[in-house]
Amino acid sequence: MPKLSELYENQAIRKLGEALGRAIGDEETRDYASLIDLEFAQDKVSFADAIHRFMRRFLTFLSRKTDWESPSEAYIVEVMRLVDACANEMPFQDEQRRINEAIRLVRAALLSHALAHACRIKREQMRSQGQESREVEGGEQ
Amino acid sequence: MQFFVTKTGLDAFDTARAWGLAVLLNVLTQDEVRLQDASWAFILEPKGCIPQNAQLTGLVSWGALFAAGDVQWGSVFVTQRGRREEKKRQVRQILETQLHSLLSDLQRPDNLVEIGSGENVPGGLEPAAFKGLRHVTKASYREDQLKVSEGHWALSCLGMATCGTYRRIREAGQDRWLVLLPVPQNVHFNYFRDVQELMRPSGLRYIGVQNAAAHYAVQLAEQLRRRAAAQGSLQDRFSAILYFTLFGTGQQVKPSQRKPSQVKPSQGSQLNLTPLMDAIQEDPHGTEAMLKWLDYCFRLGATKGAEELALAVTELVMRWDLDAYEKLVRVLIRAINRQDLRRRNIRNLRECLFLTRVDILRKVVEVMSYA
Repeated sequence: MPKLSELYENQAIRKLGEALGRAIGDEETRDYASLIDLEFAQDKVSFADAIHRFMRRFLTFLSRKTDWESPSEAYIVEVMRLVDACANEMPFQDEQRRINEAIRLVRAALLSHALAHACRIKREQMRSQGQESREVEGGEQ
Repeated sequence: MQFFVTKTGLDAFDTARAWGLAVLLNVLTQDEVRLQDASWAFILEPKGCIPQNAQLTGLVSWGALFAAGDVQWGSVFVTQRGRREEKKRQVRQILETQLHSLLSDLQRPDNLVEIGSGENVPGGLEPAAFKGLRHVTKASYREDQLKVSEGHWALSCLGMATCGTYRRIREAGQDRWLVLLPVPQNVHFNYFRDVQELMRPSGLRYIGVQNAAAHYAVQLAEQLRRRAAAQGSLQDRFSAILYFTLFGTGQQVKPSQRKPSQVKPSQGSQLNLTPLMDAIQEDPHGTEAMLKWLDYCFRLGATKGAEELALAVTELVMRWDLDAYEKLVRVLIRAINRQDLRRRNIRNLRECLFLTRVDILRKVVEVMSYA
């Protein structure tokens, strides 16, 4: 199994997670549907499907959010490779269980990046709103 | 010289006896006492020697245990209305008069607690001590009070009064007592207030007993982490926190005198601290931010309307598995977008946003490997 640090630092996980965090954290998009899709993915096909659906949604957001970058389709292949690598190293006899556990581990890493990125967006929003309100107060005085 | 507190299976009673004996040995030797959990018994070893013909009477530190306001005698005997002072005096008298016989008995590894005669174990100390039924049923089922030998009873009361924690919480619109007792795994005991310090009141409004116990567990872990970071390694380890609640009942029909406010236990369990202890032992500095993040999740969860967050973070600290982690992430992602939470608790929300970083979240997942 790839070490947890390798999993978290993997570029595909990082980029996809950040895109997910951006889609969830943004006030206009709030893509909770992708979050639920990922939550219910139990096997490799449904997990890959959930990421594909997220990518399609993300592409529609791009038409409104011109400064956003679309993650590469190759990242999905890389994420699924990580799932396989994790599953091969899981200490369970049952193959389905190995895959389930691997999906959960990869999904946890993906969600961690998403949450961290969504929080970063919120922090920046709060900071800019604070600056704006200070500027307004300064102007009134 | 080793002392053995043989376990009976009554978790709170056994742990309280171990703490009680540690306090007693600490008063007698005026030195450190080492407590170890050997699964079948707690083994205690004082660093100093117990003087020949040692007496508790007249020792200032002994007298202080019965005079100090932060020793919670009233809470231990919360079920003994009007007899609390009497019970406290009884504990003191038993320990003073039976000191030598008790200590020599506890030096034998095969010492056993005599159950069925002696003193009633108070409900404020051990939830299992409460009777199931107080009256004769058609099936003639009757449960008697849990009685144990005097010396062990006094030791357990001393341990609970000094090292236990009693906090008033409000759950489901009702005031309750939350009772917490850390279970030592390998502890160097110097002073009972060091143990009390691990359970500082947080001042939060908890949504339930598990929520409160989980937050106290995180706070205890942070205190131990600080000590570990200062000393270079984790010196004191706790295996779990025992917790239960007590609530007053005004409606219950009693066979004898009906009292306006009886106190009953509601629920209890223990929270495993091993994953957190192992993580701190591995990396005392690296776990700081993670514990802080968990603390702010609890603080944000205590906000009105953020109960789901409180439950999710409680579940994580109780279980340390990926399901609980994913649930927390999902709840937190929704929580940070909520305007009402921003209005009600901007300070903790801001801290939570600031601390939610990938390295911290990875540390949380790492803790699961110890579970």
